[in-house]
Amino acid sequence: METQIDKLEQNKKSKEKKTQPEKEELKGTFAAVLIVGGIILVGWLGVFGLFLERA
Amino acid sequence: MVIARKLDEAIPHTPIQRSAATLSLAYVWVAYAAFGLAALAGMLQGMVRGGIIELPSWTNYYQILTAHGVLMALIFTTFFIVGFIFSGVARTTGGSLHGAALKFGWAGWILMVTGTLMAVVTIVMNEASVLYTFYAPLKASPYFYIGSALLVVGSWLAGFGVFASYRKWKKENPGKMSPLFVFMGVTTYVMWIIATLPVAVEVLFQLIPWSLGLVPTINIMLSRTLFWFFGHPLVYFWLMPAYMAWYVCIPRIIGGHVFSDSLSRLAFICLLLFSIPVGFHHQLMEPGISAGWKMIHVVLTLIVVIPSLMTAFSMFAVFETTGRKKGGSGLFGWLKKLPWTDVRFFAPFVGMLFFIPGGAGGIINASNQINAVIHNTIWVTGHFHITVGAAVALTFFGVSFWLIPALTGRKLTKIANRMGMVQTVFWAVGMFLMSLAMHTMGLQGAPRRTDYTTYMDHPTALGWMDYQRVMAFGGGLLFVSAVLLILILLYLTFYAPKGNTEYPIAETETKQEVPRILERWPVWVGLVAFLIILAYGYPIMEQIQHQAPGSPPFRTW
Ligand code: HEM
Ligand SMILES: [Cu+2]
Repeated sequence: METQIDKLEQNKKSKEKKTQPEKEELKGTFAAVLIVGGIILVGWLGVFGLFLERA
Repeated sequence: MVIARKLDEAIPHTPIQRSAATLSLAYVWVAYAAFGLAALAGMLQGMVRGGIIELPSWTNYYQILTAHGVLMALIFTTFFIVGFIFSGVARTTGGSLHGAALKFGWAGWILMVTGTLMAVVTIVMNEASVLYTFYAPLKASPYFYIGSALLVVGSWLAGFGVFASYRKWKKENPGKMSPLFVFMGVTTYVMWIIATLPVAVEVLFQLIPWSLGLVPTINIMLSRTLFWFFGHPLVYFWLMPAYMAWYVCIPRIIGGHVFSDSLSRLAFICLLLFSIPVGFHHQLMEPGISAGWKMIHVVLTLIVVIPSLMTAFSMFAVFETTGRKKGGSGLFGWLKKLPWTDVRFFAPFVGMLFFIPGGAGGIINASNQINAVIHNTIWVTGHFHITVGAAVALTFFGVSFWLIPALTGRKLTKIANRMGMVQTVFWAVGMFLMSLAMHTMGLQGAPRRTDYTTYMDHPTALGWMDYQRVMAFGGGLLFVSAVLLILILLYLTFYAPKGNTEYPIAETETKQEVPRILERWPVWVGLVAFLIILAYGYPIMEQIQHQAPGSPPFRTW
């Protein structure tokens, strides 16, 4: 017998299915944004170094 | 209008109804006409600075520099953006624009073209060599300023056209979230209209009366502040439409999906909030603004890193999920599965790569102290050539390769695609060489906006000469690329075989719930107003109350 709660659970599940795409692998994305962050840091520190040298 | 009617006859069937397609095409072609002239000027500038050519006596470096800056940064970009957004709004709201939107669209086109002609004629007559920032106390002919005012007002009308379409869609689809493209287009115009109000005030109440001689002097500090209130958001006005192509069109082109609807909209809301109250990062060397206010603007500027990195993350995520579905594996194996020979993907992708050092350079520029290293050097010119001149421009080129045939009911042929790839490579290599040279020279102190000079053979300046020539060589490649591009686009407009070209619009893979708050405009406009008053209220009041002596006009050319 289906209880009210079961139904709610089911609803929740089907909703989850609808809004949650299957588990995605984003390792590469993570590595790529770290590389971007690294470029930003290196560039900034480089010019900051110039600033200190000339200041 | 005659041209419009002619184009109209040339259009059989398109993914967008003919009336909307014609409007969009009319904007896009004005953009490319301006682009062609500007590319010629750009190449000449590089050659002059590199000591390779000398200009004939009837013109001078600062005249062509003004023409280049105005035609590229103000005319090419604005016309392309307006045309692109109109087409995408039509495409995602049922394939057409209704009467009101079309009327606004054409009225805007007429005003913008009139304004452009006034600006171009005054520049050609050597009455307006004030560079594209039109800083006082350099004084142009009043017609130059009136022309730029018409350009801005025309773009507002175009914005009203997009708002009208949006309102109509909302009425017909009660309770629904608007299509992503439309949402982004509306956000872009809301930002643009708020951002251009102060420059309209500068032009109407400061520059025009002063240029006409009605008032003897001008408040320089205030005019610069009002200019940069607009000048920074201007770069987001270029960038947001490029992001629209990245978020909405590219995923479809590579056979994938929008990564996250909410994230995309949130990024645009962040851009709306944080692109305006930040203008002092262009005025960090200005003595009339205190350090505290500069710091507030710098902090707000650095917040823009958030939506930028959100965008970077989203793009990588789209590429990775799509590439993995096609069988790519390993840490970066998915990269191999992307459609590298499709110019619709390749051109904007190369643009994205340029945006990585571009964004990094932006953070350097905005950092108060190290701005002193690069301020007014040609590093800055290098910076905006890799951001707007490469990231944005390559995205617009990539869009044009499908947009124009989609609008004219023609096919993007294999050969056009291949020529597009060649053109992209030329542009990328040219921009890489030119901007690398500009960045390097800039760090050594070479100033921007400067005619050929060796500073009486000063050894430092002589040390720049090799880079100046690299810059000139890059400019040559860029000019070749520009000519090729215009030929391809002419082919796609008038000669390519008739047929259907897709207007790529991606959707999310599964239905995604989007928080309603993202579409509550009064909330966001209220927040923008709050941030603007916070960042600009007191400094502007001070600049009006404690005016330094005003300046009479100067003509230095
Ligand atoms: C054919 C491609 C291009 C070439 C060869 C080129 C070259 C140049 C050069 C040599 C300068 C002047 C440097 C100086 O003396 O300060 C310059 C300035 C400028 N360029 Fe470009 N450029 C190209 C494309 C673009 C594009 C696509 C844009 C924007 C959409 C752009 C926007 C500007 C702006 C705003 C300036 C500054 C003008 C000023 O300082 O008032 N350029 N360009
Ligand atoms: Cu800025």
